[in-house]
Amino acid sequence: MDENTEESEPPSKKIRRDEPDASELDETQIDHINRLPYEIMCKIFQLLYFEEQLVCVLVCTRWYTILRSKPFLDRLCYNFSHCFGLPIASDHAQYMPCALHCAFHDCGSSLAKEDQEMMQDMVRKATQAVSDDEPGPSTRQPAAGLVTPEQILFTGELPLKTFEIKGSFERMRRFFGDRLPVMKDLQHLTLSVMPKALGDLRAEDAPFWTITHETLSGLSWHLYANTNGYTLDLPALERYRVEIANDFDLYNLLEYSEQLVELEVWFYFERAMEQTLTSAFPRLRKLLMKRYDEPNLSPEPNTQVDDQSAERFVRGAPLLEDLTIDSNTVAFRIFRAVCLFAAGTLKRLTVKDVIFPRPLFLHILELKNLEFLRLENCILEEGSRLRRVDFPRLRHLELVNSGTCFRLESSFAEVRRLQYSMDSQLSRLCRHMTMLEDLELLFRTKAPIAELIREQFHSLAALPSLQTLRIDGMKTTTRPWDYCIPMPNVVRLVLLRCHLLRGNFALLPKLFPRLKELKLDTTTIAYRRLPKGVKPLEHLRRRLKSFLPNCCIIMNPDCDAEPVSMVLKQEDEIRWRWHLVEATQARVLPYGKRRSQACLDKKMHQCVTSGLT
Amino acid sequence: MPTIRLQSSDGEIFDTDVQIAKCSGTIKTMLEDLGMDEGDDEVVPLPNVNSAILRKVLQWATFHKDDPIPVEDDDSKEKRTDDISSWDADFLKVDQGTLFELILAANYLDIKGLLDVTCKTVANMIKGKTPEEIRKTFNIKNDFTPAEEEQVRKENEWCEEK
Repeated sequence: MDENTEESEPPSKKIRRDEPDASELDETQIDHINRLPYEIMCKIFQLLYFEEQLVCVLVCTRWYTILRSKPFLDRLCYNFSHCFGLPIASDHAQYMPCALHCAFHDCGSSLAKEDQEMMQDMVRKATQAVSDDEPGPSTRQPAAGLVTPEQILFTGELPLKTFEIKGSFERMRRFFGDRLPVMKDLQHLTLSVMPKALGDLRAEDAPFWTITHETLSGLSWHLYANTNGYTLDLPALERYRVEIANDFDLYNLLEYSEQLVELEVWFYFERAMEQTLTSAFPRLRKLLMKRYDEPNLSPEPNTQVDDQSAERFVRGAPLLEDLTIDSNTVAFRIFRAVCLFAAGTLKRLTVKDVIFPRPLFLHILELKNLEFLRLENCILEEGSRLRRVDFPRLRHLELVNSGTCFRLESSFAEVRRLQYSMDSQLSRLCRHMTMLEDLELLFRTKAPIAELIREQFHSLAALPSLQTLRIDGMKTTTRPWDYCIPMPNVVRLVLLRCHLLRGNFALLPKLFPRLKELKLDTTTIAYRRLPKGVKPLEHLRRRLKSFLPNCCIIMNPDCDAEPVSMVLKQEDEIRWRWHLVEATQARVLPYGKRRSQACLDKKMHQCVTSGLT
Repeated sequence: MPTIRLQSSDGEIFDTDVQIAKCSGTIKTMLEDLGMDEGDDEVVPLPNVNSAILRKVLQWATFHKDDPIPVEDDDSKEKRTDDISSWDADFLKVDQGTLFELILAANYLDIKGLLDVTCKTVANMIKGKTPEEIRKTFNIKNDFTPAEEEQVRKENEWCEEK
């Protein structure tokens, strides 16, 4: 391994066959591209998207070797599920040695008790088979050539930079806890805590886990009903994500307040937020605060004492430049203080799920240095949208289901990038926001938008600098193309979570004559009859190519082709999601225990949440 | 106008405007380091470039002689391969042998603009294709055994973008 310096090409696993002399071959038979040296191949592959690189890996051994060399490994995350203690087939270990990023899911902590029992059984069998005469878990070795996942992962020999692990707290502590310090290169650790698994000690009886690492700078907890005790010994910690559900969480956060640069914190109880607000975070630049409570809870307005403590908190974090406020409670508590006292440094602001009383929202006008603003599910109470606001540096604006907040007029003329839930302001913004280069239209709103599309979609062509148009959530019934006029400046069209009839594409070449890139992301194409003998998406790709010969077409693997009837069913979102829940036999967890997404299997999670925003 | 004489691998001599020749980092350094002065009748040998390719390269350099010097890439730059000018696109409508010779020449001569645009052209030839189509496009032999190919496929399923 050591001869692989960054510049030289790693040796291909295979000995190359003798290449025939080029001069003997017909020009069209020569493999010219593999004459290029390693650095140039890298340069070419770096021009491809990740999904396209995955395709290239399969072309030949040389390409494989190149795409698994250092520059590309930085972007690669090995994602695998196995059970602690259970031997793993040796070929899995083969390509681990160079992994920089890894996500491991311990099946022994799976949510279903039956699965846990099965795993325990398998572990028992695997270990008994080889060492009947050697009792005691500590000395047990699996059969030759077989290693357990923890033996691969935690030796300290992998160059892992980031590591994500999902399992029950006790199992993580037992199998991983004391091996953490040897993973020298580790920079970020993500711990997704699953509920107590079979064989775990009760939280009261389990020993404390002291999480120790000399140089680890990032730690994220994704908690799920953890009551086990732990302390941190992480002198280099700068980035921290924590959900404060008990006093261990709270205590450990406050211990580190002085050194944190980035913090994401969720509060599960009132005192957690109050106590956090009393601490000073002198180095903090990026902060996310969320109070996990009933949605739409309308908190009491701040008292004078509250205001003073919020002010002290904001002044105690003089470097704050990126803030996310999530929930009414947090917004009521600190929004005013932030606008008044952090205006000098704050560049990025995100606000989510807040119903703003007008006087509170008006403070936002103080934030003259904002470059990025996102409002998601925010409602401005009383009166009309804010007019003639002035954010001189604002370049990137996102208004998701927050149409009542601002009037999109010439005061936003400098904005380059806009994400926006379709509403009646479209033609106004097209007239005024003339510098827009990138526009994303969200169609998934509760309001009916078909009429708005019919009446306003033609105004898109008035945007002189628009290059990228993204559409999110188009349905077969909303046919925006029918109401467009050609947009010659648009070179990139992205369709995200759309349902389209196959025929919808025939109009594209006329509407987007200079289109260079068409990206379909998690998009379903409805076919009246699925083509036979060819994968529908492949069929579609060919058809698109014939419509748009000069355009690069990217479809990510989440795209799909379905018969029309199925697509129509999918568009009835609530019923469709329920159908998915039934089909995957997901268990519905009792309310109150369901604390974070960590408990949901990733795929399931996508199914359920990709629905409505 | 000062000129220098470039000699291709097969011995042909090209009298070239110095300004145009200097868009090649290699020639520029050579001239500066070796103290070759304009007006010298000395010949600069380019042993890695044949005359057909050198002619193409000089044609490209002549057309682009007034381009601004390209800035160093930053990491955040988007993976744009669609910004090839129509002149370049026409210029690069050549057979694959010539295209890859051009890349090698641009690399050897250190001409960033030409290297960029040729690499983008190749990337565009790869984009949107299946592995089999890519092999067919470039005449690459599939040297995986079926078992290895299966292994790589499996491995791909593990891989996610960081």
